[in-house]
Amino acid sequence: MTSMIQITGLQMICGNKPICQVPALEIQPNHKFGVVGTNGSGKTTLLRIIAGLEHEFKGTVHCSLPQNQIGFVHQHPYLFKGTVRDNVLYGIRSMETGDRNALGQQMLESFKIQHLTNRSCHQLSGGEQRRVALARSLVRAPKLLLLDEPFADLDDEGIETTCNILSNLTETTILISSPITIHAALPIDGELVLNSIAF
Amino acid sequence: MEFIWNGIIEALKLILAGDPQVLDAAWRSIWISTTAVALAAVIGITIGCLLARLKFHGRTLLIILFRAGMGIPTVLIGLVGYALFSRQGPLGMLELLYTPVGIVLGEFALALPIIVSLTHAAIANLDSRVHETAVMLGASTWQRLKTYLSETQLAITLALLTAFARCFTELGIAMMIGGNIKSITRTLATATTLETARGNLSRAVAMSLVLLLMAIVMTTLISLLSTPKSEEKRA
Repeated sequence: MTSMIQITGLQMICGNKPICQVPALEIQPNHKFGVVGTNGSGKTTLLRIIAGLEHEFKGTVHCSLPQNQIGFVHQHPYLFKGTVRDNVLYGIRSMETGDRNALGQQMLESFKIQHLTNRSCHQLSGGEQRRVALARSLVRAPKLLLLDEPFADLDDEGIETTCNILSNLTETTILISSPITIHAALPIDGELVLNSIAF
Repeated sequence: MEFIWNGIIEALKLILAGDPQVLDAAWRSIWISTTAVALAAVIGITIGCLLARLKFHGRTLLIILFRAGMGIPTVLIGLVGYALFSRQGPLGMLELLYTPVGIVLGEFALALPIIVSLTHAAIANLDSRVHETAVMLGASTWQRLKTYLSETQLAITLALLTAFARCFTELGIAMMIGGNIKSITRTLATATTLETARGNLSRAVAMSLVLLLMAIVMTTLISLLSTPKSEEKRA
């Protein structure tokens, strides 16, 4: 099977300090993959490189998808001004209005945040903001989903809901970064452990 | 002191009675400044966005020039405008000297650097996640631009109010390009100067009070908009 992501000899340096090192990594389509490591081990940087948000690195990073088929959710997601609905529908504006509203509503219900539909995003708690950001990204049905510490700020119910949704995404490749192993919460196909880089 | 108080009382009587000369100058000041700021907003916000988001040769120089332009003396703009629009000037054939349109163009030159610089600063200082999130959600260039403007709505509104306040109260451009012609190019600022020179203190004070009132309204609006609303603070 052709790999969706192939990384060889990746090294990103900031100043004189390496901030991310991955000798080799291959991820197959539709796999769920964990990127585990302590703070400063380069988890976020790796996800940003795959998303095409970082360009100054050594080595080769090949992703078989264009950027518009990749979903990326920041460790601290940014919600645009406006309501929860405005944010969830942001990435599907080109769709026909009826379909767009129905899809948005379905996604809000999946994440159990339909009661927040018309709430201003600035009034949400950290956990609610994260659920909105995940719904906003997933509503576009990306082929590759990059989630930077998606369980931070979520309560037990939020983690369970998110894991159920991610488990059911059988046609999406998912990379999840986490400071601890995520095997227990979500069945995954592989895990990359990044070590903290000593300077 | 009594001389000043009498002037203020007479001025208030003139304003309350709807003195035609005061109202005429006030109305002209409002529409000239509004038109100049509207024109400068369309062009200035676009340039500010481009300067903040695009990288090209000479960008830093342009940013510095626009910032320097924020403090340009109005008499200098008036002088340049006079030189351009006078009969012997390169734009003399347009016959804009001593016309309200000439003042609009001069005030446009005054407002443009303010709007460009403040828009650029607002968008350049936006959280990097705004751009990254929009890109990762497949936003088109146009949708991204709308997002930047939406996220900096408050800062851009403040830029427009600041530019309007500067244009409304300026004297140099209206005097040198407009020529202070009664019922044609006389604004509140030029009328105040003229009435003071004539010794008609009450009318001069009346004009100044309208200017002051507008300045207070603008400052209040800017202050109100600058104060973050408690409900907008993140939970």
